[in-house]
Parts: sequence; structure tokens; C-alpha cells
Amino acid sequence: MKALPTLLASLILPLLLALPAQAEIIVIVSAKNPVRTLSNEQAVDLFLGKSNNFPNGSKAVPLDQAEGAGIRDSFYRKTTGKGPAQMNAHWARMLFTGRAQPPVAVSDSEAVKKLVAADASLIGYIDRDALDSSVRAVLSLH
Amino acid sequence: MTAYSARLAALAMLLPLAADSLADDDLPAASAAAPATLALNGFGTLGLARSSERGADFVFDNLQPKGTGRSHQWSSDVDSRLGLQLTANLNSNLSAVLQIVSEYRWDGTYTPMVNWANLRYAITPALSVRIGRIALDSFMASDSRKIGYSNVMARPPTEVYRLLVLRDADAIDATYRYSDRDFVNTVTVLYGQRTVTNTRSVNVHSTDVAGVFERFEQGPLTLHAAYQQRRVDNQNPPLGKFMSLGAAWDPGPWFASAEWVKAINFNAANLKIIRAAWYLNGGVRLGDFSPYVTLSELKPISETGQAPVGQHTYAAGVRWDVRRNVDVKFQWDHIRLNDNSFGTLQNVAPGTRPGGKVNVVSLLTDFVF
Repeated sequence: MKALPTLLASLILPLLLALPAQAEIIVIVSAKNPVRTLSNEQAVDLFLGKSNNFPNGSKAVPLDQAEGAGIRDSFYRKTTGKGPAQMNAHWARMLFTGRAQPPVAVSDSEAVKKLVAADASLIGYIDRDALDSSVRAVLSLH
Repeated sequence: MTAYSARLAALAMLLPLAADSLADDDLPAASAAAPATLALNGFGTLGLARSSERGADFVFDNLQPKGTGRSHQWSSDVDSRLGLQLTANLNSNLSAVLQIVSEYRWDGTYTPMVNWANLRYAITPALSVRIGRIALDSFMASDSRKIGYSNVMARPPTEVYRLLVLRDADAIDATYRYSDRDFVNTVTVLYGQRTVTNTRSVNVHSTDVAGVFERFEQGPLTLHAAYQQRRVDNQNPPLGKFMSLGAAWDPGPWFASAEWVKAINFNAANLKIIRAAWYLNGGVRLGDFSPYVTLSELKPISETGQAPVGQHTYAAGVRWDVRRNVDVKFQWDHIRLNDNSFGTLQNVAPGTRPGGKVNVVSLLTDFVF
């Protein structure tokens, strides 16, 4: 029986170590965009294709990160509770019922930031480390 | 109108080249962020179903002439289908969709049909209009019921979706979305017409198809309500009405949904037929596996003097997300037919006894690309 705690520790420790570092994700818009802040719901509705305008009524176009990227899975897990398979099912429904098309995906946080900085209609999410003054943080997800 | 809207959409598909040069003005810096001008996507299901009742056929909907049970021990016709969709983004406000679906249909063939063929114009980000063939959003999942990959269940509960007589229309509609800090409300009004061929090869004409469809979404909550009516030439008086209320809650680790629908129709002999149906569905997500249970019932409300179409079903199943964009589902349906009723069974053999219990097992795979 003495072996049990050791056994448990040897099972649980690797699991804990394997957990990805919980990096902070920042939802960004262009510094040219008058929008200052978004609620979790407002941001999610834009990324899920349920809404396509900022609170001030101007057009909003979401930019996604690459499929399979850790930050993408983590963004949707934090905001909607859903994993990649459920997100794919969501987009199958939206696309094939004519409601919305999935956002264009680009390679990484730097690419998202560069595009968002240049276009006031875009909204993206990036790693906090990539944040600089070319874009504005409108929501932070821990 | 049918051929017209298909032609309209086909014409629209030829326009992107012309639109490209126009689109330059709309999307100067961020063309990398714009959706593809032209996209081809598809969805499909390969399924096998087997019913314990040998005197009648279990079918997906009442446009399928045969199914599993009497005609086949194992039928691949009940659930299998393939759909292709061409989406054209003509400019930042105008898009066109053409969706062709091949599935087992009224004449026993898989001849492809045009499911969607419409042009959509966004007047503002919140207000858009469509013209062409549009699938009706009559019930919570009626316009996505063919896209198996987007749903948890093997197929929508037959009791409820059986009452969806008209699935699409050649129509014009307007959609307005209102969003606030924590919700989105979408309302659509539609007007159109449609001719559908039933399993007796009769063309049923629906005109003055009018509908109001309402969807409220707040986080994991979706509420849906719809009202729809039409003039239909095989009824006396030629009037059919449908209404539905639905709710779904999906926070991620588990999910639940419920829907209630009511259909009011007349037969050719001026007899009013009122039917109601509902289902409850719930399940959990355990990694790649999503086991679920469903309870559903179809009940006749009006006294028709004829054998009532009534049944209820206990179903249990599991969806397994095998890999990206592919799932496998197994579902068991235990159907209890009302006394003196064959329920939703079709193609009943003479001498078959009404009432009783039917078991159906289904194994299928859904995919999107």
C-alpha cells in the first residue's frame, strides 16, 4: 500500500507538467479603430460568425490563427468551452446553412497583428508577448 | 422560378472574375484577410440502418419511398448523402451560394437536387437580403439537418422533423441582426413559393409561403421560434401552418436541447389535421466521445376518424470524433407505435399489424471538406 502515493504521484506529476503554460490571450483591433473595449460575448459572437459588426455598428471581420495552433484551441476553449471538433461542427453548420463563412486563418500572432494594425475592420487574438502599440487590446483572456 | 434561380446562381458564379477588379477598391491593404473569392466545400454521410419491423419501412423523411425493414435488412438509403457547395464572394457586400445535394429521393434515385441557390446582399453589416432558393429555418436545426457532421444525433428526431413538410422555397428574405453587450438576436422574414414532388410522383405546389424566423443567442443559450404558412394545392382549404419553439444549452462539457412543433393542415376532404411533436436531447462530451439520449413524441391532436399517426421514441447513441472533420455515430432507436398506428413507418405491407415496438440501429460516418 505504501507504493500507492508514489504511484499516484508518478501518474499525476507528468500530467501537471504536460499542461501547457496558461499564456494570456489578447483580443486586438487596429489602433485606428474607435472601439475601446469588448465584452467576452461580443468578441465571441464576432469570431463565431453570429455577429459581424462592432458595437458602434461598423463592419467587423475576424481573423483566426492557424488550425491546430495551441493559441487557437485555447482561445475557443476559454471563450466558448468548446474544443476543435465542436468548432469544426459549428462552422459546418454556419457555412452549409449560408449563415457565415469561417474566418480567414493566418500563420501566427505576428501575422495577425500586422494585418489588424493596417485595417480598422479587422479583429484578431494574439499572445500577450506579441502586443505592441500598433494595435489596441480590447479584451484580455486569462 | 426553380430553373430561374438555379440559372441566376450559375450566372453569379461566373461573375467573380469581373468582381475581382471591382473588389480592389473595397479591400486595399488586407486582401490577405478577405475570404476567398470562390470556395468549394462539401459534406456527406455514409450510413447503414436496420429495423426490426419487417412489414414496413423506417425512413428518414416522408420523401423517401423505401427504407430499412420491409425493403432492405440493412439500408444505406436512409442516411447517406453527398452535398457540394460553391460560395462566391463577389465583393465585400454581395455573395452567392449554390448547394447541390445527392440523396435518396422520391423516385428512388440519387439524382442531385439544388438545395440552395441564392444571392445575398448585405445592405449594412446588420441587415441583409437574399433572393433565390433558401432552406427554411422552420425548426431549430431544420436547415442543417442534412449536414450530419454539424449535429450530435445520427439524424434529427423523425417525430419532429417529419412535420417539416416544406424544407426550402424559391424566395426573397430579409435578415436583421441586433446585438448587444451579451446577446445576438436574429430575425428573418421570408416570402416565396416551391413545388415538391412526393413519393406518389404528385407535384405539390406551395405558393404564398410566408415565414418569420427568430433566433436569440446568449453564450451557451440558443432560443428559436418560427411561424410559417403557405397556400398548398393538395389541401382543402389550401392552407398549411407550422409553428415551433426550441431551446438549446451548450456550455461545452455537456449539452441539452428541446423543441416543440405544431402543424395544422387540411386534407383534400376538408378535414383539419393538427399534429404536435417534441423532443428532449442531452449528452456529455468525454474527449472525442459524445454519448447522448433522446426522447421524442409525435401525437395527433385532432380527431380525424382515421388511424392516427402517433409514436414515441427512446434513443441512445454516441458520436465519436475520429479525426479532423470526420465523425462516426452509432444510434439505437426504440420506437413505440401508438395503438392502431403505423407511426412514421412507410410502405406498409398488407396484413402488417399496427401498434407495437420497433427497434432501429444505425451506424454512420459524417464528413465535411
